[in-house]
Amino acid sequence: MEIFRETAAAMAEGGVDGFAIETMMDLQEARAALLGVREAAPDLPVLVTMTFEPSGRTLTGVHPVCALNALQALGADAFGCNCSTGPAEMAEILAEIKPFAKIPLIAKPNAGLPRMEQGRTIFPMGPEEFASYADRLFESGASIFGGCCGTTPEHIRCLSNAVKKCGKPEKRKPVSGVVSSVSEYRRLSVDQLFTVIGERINPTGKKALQAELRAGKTDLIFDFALQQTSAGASILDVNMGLSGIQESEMMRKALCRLLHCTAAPLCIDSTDPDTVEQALRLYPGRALLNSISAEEKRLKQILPIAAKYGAMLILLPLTDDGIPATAEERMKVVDLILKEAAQYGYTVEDVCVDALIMTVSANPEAAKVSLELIRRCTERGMNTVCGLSNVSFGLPSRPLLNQTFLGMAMGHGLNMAIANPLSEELMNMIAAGDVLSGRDRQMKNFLSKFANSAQTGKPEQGHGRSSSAMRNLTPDEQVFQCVLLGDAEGIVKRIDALLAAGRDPSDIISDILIPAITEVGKKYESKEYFLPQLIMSAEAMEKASKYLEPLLLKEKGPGGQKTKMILATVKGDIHDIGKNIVGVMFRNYDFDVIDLGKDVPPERILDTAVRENVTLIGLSALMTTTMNSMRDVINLAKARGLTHLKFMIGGAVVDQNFADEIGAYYAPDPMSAVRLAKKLLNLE
Amino acid sequence: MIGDIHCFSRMSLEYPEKMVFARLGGHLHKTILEGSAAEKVRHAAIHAFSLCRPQGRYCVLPVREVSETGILLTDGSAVSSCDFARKCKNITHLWCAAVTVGVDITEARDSLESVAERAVYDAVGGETADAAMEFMHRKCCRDLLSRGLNLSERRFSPGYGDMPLELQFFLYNLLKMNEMGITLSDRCFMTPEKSVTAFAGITSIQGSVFYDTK
Repeated sequence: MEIFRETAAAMAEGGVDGFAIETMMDLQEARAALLGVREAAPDLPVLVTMTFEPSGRTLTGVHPVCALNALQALGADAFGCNCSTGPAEMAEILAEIKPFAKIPLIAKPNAGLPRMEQGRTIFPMGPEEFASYADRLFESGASIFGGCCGTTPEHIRCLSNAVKKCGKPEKRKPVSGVVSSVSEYRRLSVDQLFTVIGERINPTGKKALQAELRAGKTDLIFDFALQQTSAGASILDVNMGLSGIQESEMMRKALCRLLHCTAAPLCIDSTDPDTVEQALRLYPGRALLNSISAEEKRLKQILPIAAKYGAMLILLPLTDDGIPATAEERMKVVDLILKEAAQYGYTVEDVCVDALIMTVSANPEAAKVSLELIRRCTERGMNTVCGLSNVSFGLPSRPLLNQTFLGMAMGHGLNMAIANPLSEELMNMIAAGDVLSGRDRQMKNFLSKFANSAQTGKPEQGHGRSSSAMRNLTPDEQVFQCVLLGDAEGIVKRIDALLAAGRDPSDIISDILIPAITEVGKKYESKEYFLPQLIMSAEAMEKASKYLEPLLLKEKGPGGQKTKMILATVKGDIHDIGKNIVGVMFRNYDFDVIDLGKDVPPERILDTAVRENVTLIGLSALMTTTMNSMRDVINLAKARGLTHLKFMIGGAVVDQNFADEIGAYYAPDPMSAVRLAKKLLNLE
Repeated sequence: MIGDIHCFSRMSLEYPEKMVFARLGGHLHKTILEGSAAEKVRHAAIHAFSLCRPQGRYCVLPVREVSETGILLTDGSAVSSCDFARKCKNITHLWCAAVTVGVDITEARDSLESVAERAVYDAVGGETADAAMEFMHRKCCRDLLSRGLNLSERRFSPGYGDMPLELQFFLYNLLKMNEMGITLSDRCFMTPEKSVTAFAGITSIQGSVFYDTK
């Protein structure tokens, strides 16, 4: 951002009238440019245009509404599109963002989509045709017009004339109260679906997360993010307040990780001004800030920071004197904060009032006060939010109290909660509450969650077999399903159940496991399964086989010899993923695999073959430079007179032609490798 | 611009889900992703992607001559490849590029026990590196087009077709790939493993104009 600020300062000093930041495709870069200009020349106007592909996103995947939302909150004076598309495609993008625009929209299209003709780049649109799109661009919300690649002064003259006939822009009230990431946005409003802010990325009371943060790690943050968004959280709260760590640094680290793994907008949860500033500066979207209160320090220090970056606010109705006892007094504090925030341009749509729920075990009136505050705020069109679990602190059956309170609060108008979305009952109650409060129009959300669950009253479990569905199967079928679904964790206990019922271990292998893995192979070959499913099934099968092996030996003594084979990644190559996958499959089909690893010299491969009396050797290579090492192995075998050896090859760069050339057999995938091996060794 | 190294120290990429799916043998209409396996794959893939740190750099060099066997640059160095030269008959400049997604992804992959998860990490790393190259290529296409230059859509990489792998040394030195944390072995292996290099041709479109009002 420094370079943008330096450039802007120089230009401002030189006397420019304003700035045009254009052809941006990365929202973070556009933010950096805008912040740089704003910091260097706060009084000059700044127009920002981004370049969206015909797909409606930038090359980096930025959604146009998200870009508008973040940049207008950050202080852009106008926003729009330039380059990439012709006017027709640009009109569609502008129409999508028009409802959210509080600032003028800009359209600077190309003269059509460029094409190559005999080595010449041609923009197909002439000035009159270009200008004929003025109406569509105007109706889509554009009020500042221009041209980009392929346009000439004549294009602009024609467009200008056409625009003059378009009349005045319609007056409209833009949609407010939107938080956004780079690619997703969420409107917060009393008439929209209830919003769950996932509460779990917070070290308070979570020892494992505390230990991770102290070690500077972020893996649990990643897991919590994924779990919560999968369970239905629309926004994720991020709190890094923990003694013994530097909060601002950890917050930056957490955000960097979260930006890579979730598209959900974030709620920055901190009372430390430095942490808030660093987080909002880094976050490439419009965040929700948790929180602002009427405490002097927070009002004076944190509110200006929030306003600089345009964050939405959670308002806590408390002062330096504490939490007011009545709803009326709390409402006065809300108004006080709103008045202060209005000086920075905030409106009631930009805030969410925290209902400040206190525990009813300490004050029996606590819930009533919060409910009344929710009612008053909702009447004024303000979002309300609460941390649910406070209400039940110190009491038994806390989930019951929390959920009952949630139902009552939704009845009073509550439209947001900082909660744990992994609670199925809570999420179901919210879905039902949205229907009963009329927010889930046409009940789309509810029906998509519950449509096929009339019998059980429980929502659909997603794909695959749930544990209850497993229980409806016979014990044999359960083991079969474990292989089919790649459930390595569950297979041993199900085999134990079979053994306890007196089932013979060898029967389990021949009657269940082998047919199951054969079925998996069929699914893979018909493309119903892809590679990870094949391997997971193979790993489940391998685990089961290893578990049963000692029992077989005990029962019958050493059985017949397994067929030995060698696997190796050839000399010079260090890639072994493919070889390992093939190894798992071969072991499943009862081969005794001697895995020599990677970067294996030809001499070692052949010495092992002789010593172990092996005739089949599988060679793997990923690189064009190392595939010739396969030839070296085979040539050395010929030179040593080991003509009985059979070589199979596989890997990304080899094919049947190469195999023929060096005198080897070729298998394109793990299943065909097993089949080929059986054929070569007459095992079919 | 000519001869300068242009760096992308940070790239915002979307997770290349379709490419990863295809690399792992998925079929759009036939493969059925369901159950805990599907959830595990999804989790592993997103985790792997969060460990990718894509960065890249490119350089544009002037071309002296294109012969049947390769491309001669004005500084006397040559890029030998009949296949590439055939596709680059009219080029005036050569686009040279390298990207990497860093070492975290492969270190994490190698620490995993599950072969299935390792396969997913490997695919995500490879496809994200390709996506980074594609992103940089498309961005340059756009930038060059606005200057009246056309960057070919097709890229050629050392070690593929008849392009010698030893050209990695040329790219390594030219682009100062060590500054991206990449090392190159005597046998032209790049570390981090998930790194990609490429050439493409640039046609200076003389007489190729934007819309001609005349």
